[in-house]
Amino acid sequence: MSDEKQLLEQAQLGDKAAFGQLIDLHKDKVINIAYKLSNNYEAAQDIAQESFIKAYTKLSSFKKEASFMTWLYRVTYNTACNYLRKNKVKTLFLHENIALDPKETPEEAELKDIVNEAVEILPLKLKAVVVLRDYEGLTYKEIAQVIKRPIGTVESRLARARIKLKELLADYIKG
Amino acid sequence: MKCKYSKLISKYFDGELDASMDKEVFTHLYKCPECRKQIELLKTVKGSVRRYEPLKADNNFTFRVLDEIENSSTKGWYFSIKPLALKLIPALAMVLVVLSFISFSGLNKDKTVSLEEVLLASNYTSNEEIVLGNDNLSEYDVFRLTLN
Repeated sequence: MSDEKQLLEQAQLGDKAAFGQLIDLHKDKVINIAYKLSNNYEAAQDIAQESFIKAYTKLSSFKKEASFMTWLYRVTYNTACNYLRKNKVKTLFLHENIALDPKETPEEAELKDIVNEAVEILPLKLKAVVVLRDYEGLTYKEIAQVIKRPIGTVESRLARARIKLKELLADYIKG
Repeated sequence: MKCKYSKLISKYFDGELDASMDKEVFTHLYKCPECRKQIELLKTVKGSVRRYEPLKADNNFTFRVLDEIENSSTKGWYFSIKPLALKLIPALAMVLVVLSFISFSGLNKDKTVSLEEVLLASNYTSNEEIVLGNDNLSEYDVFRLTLN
């Protein structure tokens, strides 16, 4: 962690090699979040690349109020929102990167596919909070920092997203 | 009827309730099948979203980003002022239009024309005909003009 702090200080002074090491530390996380927001691998690559470029140019504005990762999530979230607003992105499901569970029955596997597709068709604002909470495990406070909204907004968006998922999955989940 | 605790289930599931409220919801779950069903749904969603293998950035990703940063900084001042310039172009165009209008009006400011010239150059109306056709207006003409 202190390594990251040191790299960050060097990068803030314009050291591109230090910033390169920061990219190496976080690129997979950034690509994954960009992919989960866009559902398109090509778009995820573009968003991730643009996010790091923006992060570099705005590095002096990083005030260490949040962790660097949370700040980077915020840059990625904003970049993804702008990218998805400007570009018509075709949703592609990467079935080859599904983690196969040998204990899973075909029915369970199908249910999981249905759940994932339901998450993917949520409106971006709702999907973002579900992704940040359920995929990335961020706390409500961290999500609030990423989307730059009060914690109450995070709570209500998550609740709305879950109601929407409940409706979408009503036929598939036994009560 | 909807359970009054249903609004708290999402926060309870995420461990974001304070200790006393958390305990209250926990106890409530024993007697409320509706809230238990909601918890099951949240577990299913969470269990499923973790199922995808994380994607890996390709080996050249970092170098690509650094090259891009290098290119944009060597492209220099043009790229740094480009966004501002794009915003200023419409404003500058508007200023030019206003300036040319003002200078055009200024050129014609000193030229004087008589009322008669202006009215003769145009298709004048019946009121103008009354005024132009009579050196001396009668009371009747004035009355007509007032009515018109």
